[in-house]
Amino acid sequence: MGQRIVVDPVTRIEGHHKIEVEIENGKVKDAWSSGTLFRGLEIIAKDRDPRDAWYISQRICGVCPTPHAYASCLSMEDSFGVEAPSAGRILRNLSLGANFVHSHILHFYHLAALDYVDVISALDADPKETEAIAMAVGTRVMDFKAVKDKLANFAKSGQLGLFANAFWGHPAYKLSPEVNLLAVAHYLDAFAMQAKANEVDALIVGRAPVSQGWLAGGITATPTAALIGELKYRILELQSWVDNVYLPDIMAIAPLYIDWATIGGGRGNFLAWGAFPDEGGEPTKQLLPRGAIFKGKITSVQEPKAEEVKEYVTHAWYTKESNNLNPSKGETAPKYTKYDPEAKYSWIKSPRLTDEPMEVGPLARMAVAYGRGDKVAVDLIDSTLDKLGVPGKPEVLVSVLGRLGARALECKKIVDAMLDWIGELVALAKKGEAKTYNAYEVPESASGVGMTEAPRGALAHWNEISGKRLKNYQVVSPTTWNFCPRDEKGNRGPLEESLIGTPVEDPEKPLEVMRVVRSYDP
Amino acid sequence: MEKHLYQKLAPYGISRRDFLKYCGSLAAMLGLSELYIPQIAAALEEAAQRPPVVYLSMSLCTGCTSQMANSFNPSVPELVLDILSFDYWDTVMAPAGKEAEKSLRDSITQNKGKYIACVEGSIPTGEDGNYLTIGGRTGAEIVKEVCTDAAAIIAIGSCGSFGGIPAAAPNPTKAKGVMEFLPELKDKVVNISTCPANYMWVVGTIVNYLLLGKLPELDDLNRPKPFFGELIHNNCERRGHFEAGEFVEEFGSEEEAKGYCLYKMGCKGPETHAACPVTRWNNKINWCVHAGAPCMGCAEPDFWDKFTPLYERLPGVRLPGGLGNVSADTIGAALGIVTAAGLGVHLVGQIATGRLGKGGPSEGGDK
Repeated sequence: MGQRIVVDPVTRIEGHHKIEVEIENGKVKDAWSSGTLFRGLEIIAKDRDPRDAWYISQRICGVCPTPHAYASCLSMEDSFGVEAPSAGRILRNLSLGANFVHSHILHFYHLAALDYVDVISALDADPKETEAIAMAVGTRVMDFKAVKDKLANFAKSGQLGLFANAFWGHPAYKLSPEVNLLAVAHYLDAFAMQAKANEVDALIVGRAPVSQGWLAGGITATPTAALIGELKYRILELQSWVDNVYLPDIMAIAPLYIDWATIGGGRGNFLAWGAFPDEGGEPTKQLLPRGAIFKGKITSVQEPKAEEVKEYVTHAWYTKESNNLNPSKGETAPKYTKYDPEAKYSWIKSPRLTDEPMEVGPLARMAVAYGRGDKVAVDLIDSTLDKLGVPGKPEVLVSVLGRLGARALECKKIVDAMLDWIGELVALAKKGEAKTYNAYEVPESASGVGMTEAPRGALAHWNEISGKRLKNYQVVSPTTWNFCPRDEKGNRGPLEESLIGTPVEDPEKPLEVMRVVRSYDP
Repeated sequence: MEKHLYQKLAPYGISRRDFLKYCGSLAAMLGLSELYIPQIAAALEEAAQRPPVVYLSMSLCTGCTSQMANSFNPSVPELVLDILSFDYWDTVMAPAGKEAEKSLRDSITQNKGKYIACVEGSIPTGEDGNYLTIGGRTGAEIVKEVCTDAAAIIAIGSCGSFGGIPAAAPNPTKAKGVMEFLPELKDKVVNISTCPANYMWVVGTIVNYLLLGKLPELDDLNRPKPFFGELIHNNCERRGHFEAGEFVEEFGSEEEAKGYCLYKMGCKGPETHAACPVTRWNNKINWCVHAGAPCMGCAEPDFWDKFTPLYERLPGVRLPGGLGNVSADTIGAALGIVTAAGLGVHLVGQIATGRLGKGGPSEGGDK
């Protein structure tokens, strides 16, 4: 029996999570992932006006409310028999795109980076050398001396605030003081950029995150010239920042952590419902196409179906009536017992696709796009593998580093597409086809499903309507897929599985475990 | 020698002039005259120690923290490095697990009675509080400990203030806002009650506290009057069209683009107190109603139940013609009278449709 380590709370994530691992001979031998908060939004949605479902379910995630709004609207439209008009679809895609760009920047710089960047080490940096490095890797040069001075003043104050009690000086931190200073400077700089991405979303739907301008049938805003101009200016600025800071930063840091291209992979099962539909609405032809991959066979992309999803609660705090159901008939009946890794240990249900645990997120989506031969994805991935000196080996993506890299490449793919959508919107406006909403009647009874992607992975909402009220509402969100406990057969969830084999230098300071956990952007 | 704050900001291209301008915007936000600008500047500069803040996440979606990360003037780096000391904030802090818990314990012990506690999310009290556990303790236990010794408590968002979405019918986890959960601490609670909280109002409240050593003036729901003193309807950019009887009849229509009134589309602005039309959101660029979306009344207690369905017209608001061209205040006062009757009808409607009939908070999640 190895040594058991518990990290609770897991910080720098959305929501509440606890991870327990068993360490033997310096490596993780087993793992238990526990969601420690239950709110019951599926129960609260019941019996309400179906038109209200989108803005209730938006509160599932305050970092990614936009995809929840999108999935819910698609789900309702499936029941109502209505679709958004073209201009509405494009504005929705721009709103969702902005949420992705916001979330991906926030994840890399503000949630994940501190697992790789030693803030205190930056105090020893030579700012001139930092500047030389920035120029050599082609990323943003800032007044690094001023940043260092600011940091030194902060440290001298003795009030380390958010940065107190971290694992600074841990041997797993591999960057030089100069690169650490570069990263800290960009960490500070990136706050304004993730907020800028939110501005794009807010311009369309009122405020972001958590907006008010979505609804089944389309979107409330109209694409005026003023709005299009405000959007385009900001998207250009974001595109420039992704090209000239985010991507070069990833490429500069990746070689120094290249061993993480072989750690934290997991089963290689990937699911993407896909997102950002084009005019035809064909799921496999979206900007992020639909598909499923099993056991790492990237070249063999399958067609996943909503009916193939089931949720187990064998190890989650729900009654047995909630077990082994497709969400269209799903139940959420909570029943807390104690935390027990041998029995029940989480509020997260265990969703399975054809009975398989599936990883979702940027890595899953890029793998599916690559497997489908999507030209943009193939070019982005192949050129990155070339630069890292591993040409023709997409399998290195199935790792912690792969998740971080796939997220950055996807951010690039989306921000570029957003400019194309602005062009499409202008063309529609010129033709006088600026309608953003199609009216409908709420049916007496119906059922439907809506599928899209959140920044952190595949997302689907199921609804059943009876007497013009929601009889049932079920959501399978990305972190349910990634962070679920074991299923009825004892198969671990994706995070649990990918932790196996992770080296842990000092069990008292399990920094490496946190890297695997946070690579999913929970 | 310790640098002035504006000198510390210089690396970010912020001059003394910018700094004073920022102090000016804070003064405006707080409804103070320009004469206060030097005082605000002095208060920010001369704080010997950055005031400690502990920020707790309870039953939440993290949307309020996401809004806080939008902060602009002051930026997030300024807030975190120069103005305040966020000793605990699980969503953004570097340490995790027992190290994170040490940060919390250190701060509330060393700064007993002096720190500001922010509480985002509501407190689940069902199942003995076990719907939320952090580090093996229930959220309820942690909130009680942290809030008891705080100098002031800022309840962030609808959930922290009034229970929010988790407390919506049938409140499966018996969730409560801070004031309801800890009524004995009511006097030091400030509610920033929108869903989510607007960062400008949170920062404005904290600056008010730093500047004057006390909380801003509060309304009877403990909301700061500078941000919750007026009805949305009174300051709404579409108000002129309400008075003229010009209403949007369909979303995404020409009338909506022209800025006609959204009342008939379900707007709850006539009964909602918040400064959204004035301060707006996201660096002041937009707000719900400008985007053509009806206000859902998210600043008010129980809006998930009393203001739903979203797209149904608020009952009891008499349209212009009935009221004529009376002043905004008169309409506000008139609304106060008609609201009670209107809501009564609305609630009867909800019971009839089974919305409330299925049981109030007493029917828990054990079914």
